[in-house]
Amino acid sequence: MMDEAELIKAILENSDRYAELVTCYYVGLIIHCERLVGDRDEAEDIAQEAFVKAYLQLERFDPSRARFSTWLYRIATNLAIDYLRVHKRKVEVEDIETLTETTMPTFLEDEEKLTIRNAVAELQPLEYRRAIEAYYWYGKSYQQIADEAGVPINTVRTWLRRAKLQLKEKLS
Amino acid sequence: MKKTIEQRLLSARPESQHGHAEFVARTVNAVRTAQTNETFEQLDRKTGITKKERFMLKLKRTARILLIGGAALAISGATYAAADHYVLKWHYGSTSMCTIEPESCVKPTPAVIVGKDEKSSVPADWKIGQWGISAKSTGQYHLQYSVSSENKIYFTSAELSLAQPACDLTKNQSGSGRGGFFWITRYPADGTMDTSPLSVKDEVALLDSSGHKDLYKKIGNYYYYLMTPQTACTAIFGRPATDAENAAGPLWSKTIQALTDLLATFTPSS
Repeated sequence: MMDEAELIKAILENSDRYAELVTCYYVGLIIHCERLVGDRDEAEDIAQEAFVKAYLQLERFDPSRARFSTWLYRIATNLAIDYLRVHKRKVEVEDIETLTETTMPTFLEDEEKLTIRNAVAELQPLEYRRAIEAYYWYGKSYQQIADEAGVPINTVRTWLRRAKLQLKEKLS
Repeated sequence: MKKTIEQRLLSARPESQHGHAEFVARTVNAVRTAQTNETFEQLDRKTGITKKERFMLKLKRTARILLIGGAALAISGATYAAADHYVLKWHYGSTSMCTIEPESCVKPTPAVIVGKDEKSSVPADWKIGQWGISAKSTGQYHLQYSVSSENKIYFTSAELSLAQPACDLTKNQSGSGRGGFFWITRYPADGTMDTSPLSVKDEVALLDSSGHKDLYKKIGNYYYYLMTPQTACTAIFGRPATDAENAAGPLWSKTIQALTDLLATFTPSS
């Protein structure tokens, strides 16, 4: 993938290229929004609105001052906070910045990517691997994964939790 | 800061697994629509056209309706891009089938949708001329719908993606006495509905307060309304659905199912 600043420059000349940025960030952004508003459908709406807003203001974005992802997540977070305010709901989040960091993709060396992918491929039982790939790589919701596997949604949550524990051990 | 497992997983996402295109297509379409709206607003400032006039102009320009056998699906108020149009063709017989073909495949034939309803006795004189669509009876139980070349029924690939959540909502609307047709329409969140003096936001508040929250869904900058056949019939024709129209219930639910299935597998060619 080309450098982010170059890609943004290319997008300003050809809006079709924006799909590349959306593809790169939408999974993490939807998860981030879902954790803030507690609803997958609303999270997808908010993430989409954030992408639209970011695009409309892209000319004003300065890649030398911040990463695109930081800026995009900030827009989405503000939209989520607006949503919670309108619906008179509160979210128990001690530190939004920390929450943001956990779902924001960052640069990894190819070697590290390979290590993580291999660790995922080795997850046992197979359901753990499938759940991790579906949720973090394909961008599916808990409900979608549960429906496809024919199991209750809490089983999917358990698979993911245990899979992450396995990965933590493998990657530590 | 040390990276969490989640952050590392998201950062290591293989490009080959970026195949979940539905959200991306929907978002890119929303971006295009937002761009178009911006352009409209820029033009409006030059021409002095009012917001209401602009909205009505857009509605008139882009109103479209899809008649499928005994069912009708309308998506209106949409601003479609100049390219990337598809035509949805519906065949109903012993096997229900729905196909989508690029615009180039159906030119220059003016009739783009043909529906065959083997059981319904829906009258052929539906007051659908207002949409620029005509229907004629081709036999005792056969209806053929056609549309003039000026009023082709087009869906953009992105609109198909957008229509999917609204179609999912219809699953809650099935049941006896609800057959005939249904109507999905979308309105810009800041627009005014053509059939109501209320703003869309007021309309949504009204639906909320009257316990009909499931009749709409906000997706991006648009509200999608789902009308039951009865409601839609009153809205379109100014009268409740007839028994004959209600009798087409199974066809209606089959239509929705086929369309939903189709939308689930549809990948824009872009």
